Formats: sequence, structure tokens, C-alpha cells
Amino acid sequence: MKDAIADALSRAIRRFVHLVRFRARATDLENELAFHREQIARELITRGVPHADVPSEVRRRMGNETFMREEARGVWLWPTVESLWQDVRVALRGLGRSPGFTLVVTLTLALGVGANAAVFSVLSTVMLRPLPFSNPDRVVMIWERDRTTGRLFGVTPADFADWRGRTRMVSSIAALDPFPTVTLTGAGAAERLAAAAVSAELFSVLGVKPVVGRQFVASDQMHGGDHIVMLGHDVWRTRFGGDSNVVGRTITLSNTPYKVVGVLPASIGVIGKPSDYYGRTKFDVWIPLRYDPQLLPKLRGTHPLRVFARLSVNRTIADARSEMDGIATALEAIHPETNEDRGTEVVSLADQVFGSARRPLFILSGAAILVFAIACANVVALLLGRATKRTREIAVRIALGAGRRRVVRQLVTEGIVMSSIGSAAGVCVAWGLIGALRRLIPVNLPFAQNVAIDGRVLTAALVVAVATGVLFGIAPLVLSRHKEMQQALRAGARSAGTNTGGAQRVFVVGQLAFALTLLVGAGLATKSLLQLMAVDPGFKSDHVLTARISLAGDSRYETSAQAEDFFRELVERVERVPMADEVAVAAHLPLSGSDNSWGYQLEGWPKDDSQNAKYRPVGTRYFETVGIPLRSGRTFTNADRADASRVVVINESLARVITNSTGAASAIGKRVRMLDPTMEWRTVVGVVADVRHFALDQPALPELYLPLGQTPFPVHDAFLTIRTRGEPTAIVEAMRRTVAALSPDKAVFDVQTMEQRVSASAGDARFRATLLGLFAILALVIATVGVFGVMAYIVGQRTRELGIRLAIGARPVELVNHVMRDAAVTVAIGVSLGLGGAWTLGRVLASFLFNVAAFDGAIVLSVASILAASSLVAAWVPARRLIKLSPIAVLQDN
Amino acid sequence: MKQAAELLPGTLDLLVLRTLTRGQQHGYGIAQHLKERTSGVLQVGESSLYPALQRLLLAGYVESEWGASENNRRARFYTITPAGRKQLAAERKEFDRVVEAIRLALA
Repeated sequence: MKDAIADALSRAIRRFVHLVRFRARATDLENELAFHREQIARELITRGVPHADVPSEVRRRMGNETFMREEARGVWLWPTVESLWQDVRVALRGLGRSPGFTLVVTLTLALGVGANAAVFSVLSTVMLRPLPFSNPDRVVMIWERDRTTGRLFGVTPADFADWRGRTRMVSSIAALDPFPTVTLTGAGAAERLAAAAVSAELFSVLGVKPVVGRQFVASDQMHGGDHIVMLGHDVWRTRFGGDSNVVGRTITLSNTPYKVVGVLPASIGVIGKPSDYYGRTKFDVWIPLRYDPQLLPKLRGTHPLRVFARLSVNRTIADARSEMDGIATALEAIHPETNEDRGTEVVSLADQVFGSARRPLFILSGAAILVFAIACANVVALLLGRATKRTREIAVRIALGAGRRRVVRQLVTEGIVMSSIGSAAGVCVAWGLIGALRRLIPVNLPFAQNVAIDGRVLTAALVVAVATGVLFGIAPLVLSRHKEMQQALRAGARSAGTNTGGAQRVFVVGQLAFALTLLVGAGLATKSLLQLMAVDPGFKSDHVLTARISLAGDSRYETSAQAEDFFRELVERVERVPMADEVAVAAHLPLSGSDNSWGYQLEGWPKDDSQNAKYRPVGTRYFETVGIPLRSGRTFTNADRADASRVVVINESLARVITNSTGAASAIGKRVRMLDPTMEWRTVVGVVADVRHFALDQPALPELYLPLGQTPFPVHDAFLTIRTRGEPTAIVEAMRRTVAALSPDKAVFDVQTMEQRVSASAGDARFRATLLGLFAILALVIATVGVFGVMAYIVGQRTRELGIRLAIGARPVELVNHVMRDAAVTVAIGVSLGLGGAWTLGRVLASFLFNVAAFDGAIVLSVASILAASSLVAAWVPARRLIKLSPIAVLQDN
Repeated sequence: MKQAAELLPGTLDLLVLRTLTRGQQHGYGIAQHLKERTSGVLQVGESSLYPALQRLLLAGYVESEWGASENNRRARFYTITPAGRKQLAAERKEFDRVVEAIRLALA
């Protein structure tokens, strides 16, 4: 026993050594053989064999060198490996002999595996990542909700302070103001950074600790305290080299010195999802949230804050909800002029981050699984078809004495080889697909930038694919046990198989149904997208360049007048740039994600009566630059300065409210006032057309435009808009230089053409349409292939029977018709079943569709026709062979 | 010359090892030696000889090194190892046993 072990061990060692010296051994053998040949030649010559005959005689004596080399080499391989390798080679040869079949199966598997790996990688990155906070399921976000429209808003500072004082259901509550932007100077090039102003309690709400230094404490929020800042992880690494000595250093933000007190961990980007922060994925710096205690109670107009809270122990989110409702009602009673109809909404942080993404992603994964199922079904069907053809071969091999196990192993190997090739191709497909998906994913899906192929997902897909291959590699063996298969060996018996492809027909019907469902879905999504893009946004988006600029935190531009002066100077300078036709600034641009609203009163309304309108500070020439048509009256001019009489321009929606309310013919000349501290009356001087501000599929709301100098609060963040002659992008450099010349530490950012913004606003719809389209095409291809496979199989099975019919006198065309009718019935059943699926999918998609009915007859009809047509063509190709069928050949083939 | 006979299966290793107890030899030499020794009855084909030599190398029964042949050509020489000698003795014993059994059965 010990000897056997020792022997096996020493052999194993020698095998390892051999592996290393593989090439050397091969050369050795060649040299040996060369020597041997030489010696034989020498011997022959001495014996007197004529020189001409020597080479052939040597060859004869040497025998089968190829075989010998293989044998010699085979000695060194592990025994199982050697025969496995043989099996693999046989399998590859077999696959090579039927290239069409191999190609089809490989393609099908590749598409199925690739699509799934890609989609589930996205899914796992976006959905299954746990939030980087302690006990994240105890963290909630609290929004303010307009009770009449149901829209959610951020929280006003005064409301937040009140909530903080009153709530018991949460153990800690904190706020984050995402709007400050600062410019970092003095450490390299000036750079605009995204800043978050946060309450000190945010860190305990989230359970987050700084990696270096300390976090904010309550005393840091004192109004007028020292300027301190915490750095975000990325900025710390890229601008400050990840140096832990940065704590205590002073940096200059927007011309003010700030002391660095700590650095946040890398896991904290934004708290929540990017779309809650206008697309931002991280904050660069964090500063304490401070309010002047005198002003704080008055700040009930704007809604900048995002509020986070941690539920108290043993409290549920339902508890928090009912408490917040009560608090909101109480505040409504105390502050009716601002808090009317102002409710709250409490959402778990996980839902906030992932909630809206769930629906589309589930649709996505549903589609991917469908495609994978179809692909596997196809592979199954094709392998089954091939298997029945080979049962005879298998039965013969076994009868001739091939070990059953060996045969099984060979078949399994074949199945594995085939599915491995397909899966490897699938990995490539997945790579490509992920790359494309990454570019398409709308930015409001969380963690979108981190999408990469997930190893686990890939492994799972590969395992399933390989299992499919194995399973149906064995199929012929299983089938060969059938009594009928044994008959195949008897001379004169019927050819193998009474299987008329029933099981496969079922598969194909299923595939067709799935394909139709996906195709209709894709059609609906595409039509929805087209409808969306066809909407008139209310302004002219061509040839307009836009960029953001921020004066926040700069003491030189604190007052309304100072800010207005800066913007006017900026506009004048940019107007001098050659390609600029019209230039203007505005606080909020349509489809940019930026927005603000305020309560207002019409003259003549009861004192407590007020409504909400969108608040739009704009510079002169704004409407002309962006192309919003004037309906009546006038737009702003340079005369509408800070010291001039108060005027406003309104949009058609607001004009309608006014004319309905007053019964007047026109809103021009009427006076309104905003519920701001000044409470000044402003005269309506113009009415402009409605624009789609929020999204192309959302109607306009009443909008109140004010001249920049007349706003109750100074405008510090604005959009610069330029209508250009020629390509808007060509003016970008000139614009940057002009801004830098005016104020070197102000950088413009978020530079886009208006058309880009319009297009991006349809990003979700485009993503859906593209994805569904992709899957639909995949499904179409796979289903068509399935039809082809089944038909080829059936034709093959029935060749004998049909050949007999030919012999009896049927015409080839009749045979083809007969077979095609058969196929047509299958296709019809599949398509009909698919209609049911399409209807269901339509219902699921309904909430995403714009201007498209959930069951659009035209789409269904055209899609069904395409599917039916391609299926019938696919069925016809193998059926065509029947025309050339020779009855004699069929009868002879036994 | 007598007709060449089929080599009894499994005996090639035995014959090669025995040949090598007479001293170092290269592949061609082994084949020649067997042919001469058996007056042409046993002719080892190259296609079975070299794989057999590889097997013996793997098993550790022989070693090989490159040297110069009689006519000064480069050739690979095989030497039997102590383990090889042990194996030779064992296989010889086994062979005798089988042959004796066959004889008994034929008698």
C-alpha cells in the first residue's frame, strides 16, 4: 500500500516536472526520432538497399509517427485528463462538422447569457447594494407635500426647526442644504465645488464617522461662528493628496478662509439618490448649516432642505407618519399664510434611494429572464433534434462495446464544450452590453456610475448555461433506452423516432408568445419616446448654449443690486462675443431640474387667500434668448431696475387664473404680490406662452417672472443662456474666457446646449425604449431560430413518411404546403398566446407611457405581422428541401 | 529470416528493462538488440518503443541522458535505475508464473 502511494506520488511529481519542461521533451523526442531514422537509413544502405528506395523504406519502418507522438505525449498527461482531452477533441470535431448548428446554438446561448449577465449586474449594483449607514432601515427622509397636488418639496428652514422641537417618534433629525456652491482657490486652478450645508446631527442620524479629524457638533451651527469645513473623500484624495495632516489647514472657499476639521468616508456621496440632488453624485465639501436666529422663523417660503431622521427605538415608520401629519396640521393653523395645505411625507431612506428605480429594473430583469428562458428553450430544442438523429449512432456504439460510462462522458463533454463556447461568447456580449448600458442609464438611477460586470451574476449564468448543455448532451442516451430505438438496429425497420416534435412545438409556441410580448412592449416604449420628443416644449431649443454660474458665498455680491450688477456686466460682455446673438441670465431654466415656487396673492383677494406659483427671476432679453413667445404686453427691459416700479411677467396658465378670478379680459395691468417679507405689489406687464418646465410630459404650472433687480431675495445662482449664430458648442471657450476675465474665481459649470437638456429630460423614456427594443430584437431572433430548428427537425423526422407520399404520387409542392400549414398553425397559436402577454405588459408599462394607449392596435398588428412573417420564412427554409426530395433515396436510407 | 511475431501484450517494458541491464543504450540500439537476440522473431516497432520508453521514464525505472553514439552522432541514452531493476525482477517473476500456468493448461 505504501509503495503504491509512493509510486503514485513520484509519478505525479515527474508529471509536474514534465509540464514545466514540455517543450524540451518534445524537442528531445524529435531528436531521438531523427537519430533513429538516420540509423535505419545507415543500416539499409549497408545492406545494399538502393539509395532511391531508402527514404520510403525508412518511413515504412518508422510506422505511424503521428500516433506515436500522441501516445508518447499522452504518457505524461494525467490519465483522466488524457481521455477527457480526447473527448474534447472529438466533440470539437463533431461540432465542426455541423457548423450551422454550432453557430446557431452558440449565438443563442451567447445572447441569452450575455443579456442576463449584463442586466443582473446592473441590478445587483444598483439595487442590492446596502446603504452605507448603520442600521439603514431605521433612517427615513421627511419631505413636505402639497396636499392639493401631492407634489413633494424640500423643507423650509423654519418648518424644520419646528419639527425638530416637536417630534418624539424620531430620536434624531437633521437637515441638509444641497444648494451652496463654492469655488476653491489657492490650491491649484480655481475649481467649483458642490457643497452641502448640514446639521451636526446628520452624522448621528446616519451613523457615519469621519475617517480623519472630527465631525460637526451642535456648537458649530452657531450663527456667526468660525468658518469650518469637512472634506468629501474624493476631493481629499485628488486635491489634497489624501494627507491626514490636512486637518487644521485653512483653505479658501469663495474668497473666505475655512478651517478643515475632518474628512468624510468614501462611501458617502450624496445622502439618497442623485436625482434628488439635480444629478449630483457626491458633495465635495460639507459645511455647518447656519441660520440667523432672528431670520429663521420667517424662512417658510423656499424649500431647500432635505431632512433625515432616525426612528426612535420601537417606533415604526407609520408612527412617524402620523406624528408628522399632526405636526404639519398644527403648523398650518399657526402659520396659515405660508403653511396652508402643506403636509408631510415620510419615506424610508431605502425606498427613497431605490424605490423609483425598482419598477423599471424589475421590468428589465423580467425581460432578461424571458430572453434567457427563450434562449435555453431553443438550445434544448435544437439539441433534442440533434439527439434523436444520433440515437442510432449511440445505440450502435454501445452495442459494439463502448463502455456506457465512456459514451455518457463523451456526450456530456460534447454538451459542456458547446455550452462553454456559447457562454464564453456570452461573456463578450455581456461586456459590450454593459458598456452600452452604462452610457444609457439615466443618471437618476443610484450608483449608476459603478456598474460593472458582477462576477456572481456571470457565474450563475454560466452555470445554468453549462447545465443546459450537459442535460441535453445526455438526452440521446436517455432516448436510446427507448424500445423503439432498439428497433432502429434491426434491418428493415422504421428509422429512429416516432417523436413528431410535440415537445418542441410547445417550446416554439412559448418562444413566439414571449417574443410577441417583448416586441409589443418595445413598440409601446418607442412610440412613447417618439411622442415625448415630439412635444413642443414651449421654447426654441435650437442654437442655445447654457451654463450655470454661482455667486453664492461671495461677499461682493450679497445684495440683490450687487448680484444684478454682476449679471448685467456679464451679459454685456458675453454679448460682445462674435457668435452670440442674444444673451440673458435666469435663475431657473426649463428642463434643467432647477425650480422654486412661492405663494402669491392677487389684488382683490381676501387677506388670507393665496396660491402657489413658480418663481422665476430672469434678466432682460431672457424670453427672446430662449425663444418663449410673447402673447400680450411686453417683456422686461433695462428700465426695470432695482429702483424702478415693480413689474412682473406671467405665463398663460397664471394669466388664466387671474382672468378667471377677476372676470377681466386680460391680466395685463393687474397687480399681484408675493408672500415675501417686502409684500410689495407688482404690476403684470406681459403674458408669455407656457413652457414645459419640469418634463416634456408634464403640463405647465402658473409662473411668475421677475426682473433680476426686483427680486425679494438676491439671486446668487443663475443660468447663463446664449442664443448663438452657428453651432452653440463653438462658443464655449469664448464664454469661459469672458467669465474668467470678469471674475477669475467664478467658474461656469454644467455647460450644455438647450437641446441636450431637452434630450436628457427624455432620458428615462429613451432608456426604456432602447432596452426593451434590444430585448425584443433578441427575442425575435431567438424565436425565429427556434421555429427554424423545430421545422428542420420535423422535416427530418418525417422525411421517410413524406418520401413515401411522393412515391405514391403526391407532388413536391403539396408536401411543402402540407408542412407549411403545420408550421403556420404553430405560429398562429404562438402569436395568439402572445397577444395575452402583450396586453399584460401594456398594463404594466401603462404608467410609463406618454400619449400611447396600453393596447395600441396598430403596434400590435404590425409587430405580430413581423413576427409571423419571419417565422414563416424560417419555417420555409427547411421545408424547401422537400421539393428536391427523391422518394427512392428516402426508401433506401435505412 | 524467420517471420516477425506479435509481441505479447505487456511484455515490451520487461524486454526493454532487461536489455538495459546489459548497459546504457539508445532507442535504436534497444530495438536492434532485441531483433538480433531473438533472431528476428521479435521486432519492436518504433511506434510502440518510444511510448514505452516514455512510460518507463515516467515510472522512474529508467533515466536518460544525451551522449555520443558509436558513430559520433547525438543520441539519447537510457539507463536502468535501481527501481527499474526491482521492477524487472518482479515482472519477470510474474511473466514466468503466467507462462507456467499456460503451459499447464495446454498440457
